[in-house]
Amino acid sequence: MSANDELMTILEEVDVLVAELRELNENGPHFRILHRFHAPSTDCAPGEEVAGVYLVHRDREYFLRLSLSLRLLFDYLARHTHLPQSATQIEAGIRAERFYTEHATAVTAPLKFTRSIPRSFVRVYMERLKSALADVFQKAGLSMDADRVLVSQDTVMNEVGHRLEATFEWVHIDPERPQAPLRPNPKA
Amino acid sequence: MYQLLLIDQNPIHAKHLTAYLRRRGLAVTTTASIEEASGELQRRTLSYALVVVIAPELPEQWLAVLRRLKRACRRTLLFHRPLFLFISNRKCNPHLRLRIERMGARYVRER
Repeated sequence: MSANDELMTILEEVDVLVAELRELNENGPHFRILHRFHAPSTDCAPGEEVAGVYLVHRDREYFLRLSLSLRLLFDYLARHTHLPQSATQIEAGIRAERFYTEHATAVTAPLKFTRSIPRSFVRVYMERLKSALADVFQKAGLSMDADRVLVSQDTVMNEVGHRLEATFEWVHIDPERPQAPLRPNPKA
Repeated sequence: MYQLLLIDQNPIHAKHLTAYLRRRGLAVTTTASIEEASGELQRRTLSYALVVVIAPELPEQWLAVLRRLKRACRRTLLFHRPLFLFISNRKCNPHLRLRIERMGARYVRER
C-alpha cells in the first residue's frame, strides 16, 4: 500500500467524524424511547408504559437514569419538539393527553403508575433532566452540552419555553411476546 | 469550518496529512508531542472539534495518552469535548481497542 493510500485511510475516518459532528450540530443527539405493555397495532396508545429512555450513540444504547416523572416529561417533550412550552402548557398538556393520565393502565389500576407534572415543579424537573442528560453524554463520551439539547428559551415576557432539540424513535414491546425484538415506530 | 488538532511525531507525515486535511476545508493545528497537545487543549479546548492522534509506538502507552488528552479538555469546560480519532500502524488487541473506544475515541489501524 502506498503512502497516499495510508493517508486516504485516515482521511476517510476524518470524513466520518466530520459527518458525525455535522449531524450532531444540525439535529442533536438521537434517543430511543421504550414503550412497554403495548397492544398489537396500537403504537403509543393509552395504557402503555414509558419504560426507559436511551441515548443512542455509535450504535450503542446508554440508559438515562430518569424517574417516572422525568420519563413522562421526556416522552412528552420528545413528542412536541416543534413547540417550546411553558410550565403551565406542559402541566396542561400532560393532563390533557390520555397517554399520560392512563399511563401503564394496561397492567395496573388507573392512577397507580402515573404522575401529574405540577407547574411549580417544572423548573426543578428541567434541571434534573439536564443533569441526567449531562451524565449520559459523559458516559457515552459525547461532546454535547445538555443546555443545547434541552433548550429553555425566554419569551419577551417572564415566561420560559422548554423544548428538546434532538431526534427520537419509539420502540414498543408487546406484553404477549416480551422476547420479541424491539420494533421501530414508523411514525418516528 | 471545523478546527482539528493533529498530533504527529513524524514531521513529513504530518505535513502531507495537514495538506490533505486543509483541502477538505478543515483548519489544522499540528503538534509533535503529547505534552504540547495537552497544553494546547487546556488553553483552547473550545476551538477544537476534532483531535487526531497518530499514536506513539508502544500500545501500552495509548490509554495513558488518551486519558491525558481527555483530561486536558475537561479542565476548561465540563461539556465540551472534541471527537478523538486514534490512529496507529500497530496491531491492537481487541481488549485494548475496546477500552479505547469506550473512552469515546475512534480507533483506526493505518495499514
